[in-house]
Amino acid sequence: LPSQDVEKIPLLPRSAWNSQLGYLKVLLKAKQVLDKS
Amino acid sequence: MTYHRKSYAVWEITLKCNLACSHCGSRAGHERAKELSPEEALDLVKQMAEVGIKEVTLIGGEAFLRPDWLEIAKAINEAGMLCGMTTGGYGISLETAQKMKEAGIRTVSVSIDGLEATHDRLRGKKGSWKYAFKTMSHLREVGISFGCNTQINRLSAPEFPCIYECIRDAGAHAWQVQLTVPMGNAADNADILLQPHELLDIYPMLARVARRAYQEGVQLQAGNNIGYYGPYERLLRGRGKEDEFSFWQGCGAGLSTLGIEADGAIKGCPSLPTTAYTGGNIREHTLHDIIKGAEELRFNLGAGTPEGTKHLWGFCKTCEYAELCRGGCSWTAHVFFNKRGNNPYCHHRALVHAKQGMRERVVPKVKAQGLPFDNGEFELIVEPTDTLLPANDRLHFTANSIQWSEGWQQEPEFYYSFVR
Repeated sequence: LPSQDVEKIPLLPRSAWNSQLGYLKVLLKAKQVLDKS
Repeated sequence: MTYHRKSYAVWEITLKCNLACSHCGSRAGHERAKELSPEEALDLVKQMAEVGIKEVTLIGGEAFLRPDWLEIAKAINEAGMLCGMTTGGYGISLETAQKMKEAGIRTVSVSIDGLEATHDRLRGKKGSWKYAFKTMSHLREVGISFGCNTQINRLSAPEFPCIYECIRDAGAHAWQVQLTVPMGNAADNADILLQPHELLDIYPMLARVARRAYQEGVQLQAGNNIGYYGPYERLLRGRGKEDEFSFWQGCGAGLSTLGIEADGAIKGCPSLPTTAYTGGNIREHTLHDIIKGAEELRFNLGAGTPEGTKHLWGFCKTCEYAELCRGGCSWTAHVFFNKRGNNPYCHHRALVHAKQGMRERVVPKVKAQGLPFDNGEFELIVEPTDTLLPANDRLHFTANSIQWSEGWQQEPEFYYSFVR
């Protein structure tokens, strides 16, 4: 991106997760465990 | 339309306070040695808007004891951010409430930590309970939306259902609840803290009260150390909606939340201990650079990789929810054990231990130093549930301690069936 646009991108909020796919997999796993408990 | 919080800063604009709470994490009272000047404060408002903050809550100490507090509120509003405030409510007159409205303060949360005697005892000021409710009436009169916040500990927990009735009748639209943890003054008063095994009696009560609150239009909001993954998780985390994905998804410090101390120290969350979690000071670095570069604000990055769970230890390391939960509230874990990653305040954990005929207790081991936002260290004891409790533990909380007023005896049967 042009450098001036980089500066305009807000720093917050940001995600803890590097990968959206990784997040969804862990989320689904937790949901399944919670459903069974 | 429901407003969903996106990026949020809690700003202690002064440490000066007119109350003396025995559970105060920041040991508020006198102002800090070098609080930000009016010019520095207004510059910080500008920087917050630039990094993407959408909502700012002013706190203290007692925020209104800072002379330029309304100018700061106005600047936040003019910068396009929503301005809220949390207050002990000891001294907001009708005239002050009107000025708050004019400055653009949109929401206020008033601290109510028990019925009158308990609240006044915990907050170190006789008459503070009465004035807090007077403040709410002033806010209502000028049309500022308000809610309450309550610390749950061994003194306030027995009164929890009655507290709800008081704040509902006062017109509160929201109620944030949180477990008291051993930071600051609370670290010196460990006998008022709930023991982890006492959560087994806390959560059914919390669920029963929450259920009614949602029915009666008061939005009970679970603080970050309420949870995790127990039978009432979806009710409490989903604010009554019980959506299938309404459950705890890890600490948000430095991700969506910022904490700012009155002298310009920047943390990922307002509750975190100053020494271990300050990423820098606004007087030495820009807010942009602190958020982007300081490790103290980046510790929650890396979820889903080995980096995301390497801080876990004890029960939390082996828990089936570990990868998503990541040890619950970092603040709560840290102030018990002087490091995060093992959180004794967890309903799921208490249930797992109970199923094995065991329970957990925490016992003070190292005293806190006596500084704002400091902590000591506790020893964790795991023992069979039939072990005799220490004779000097007089405040022990059980379901039998709870005061259910007459209004609760008449509630419909379905309330009981839900929490059974």
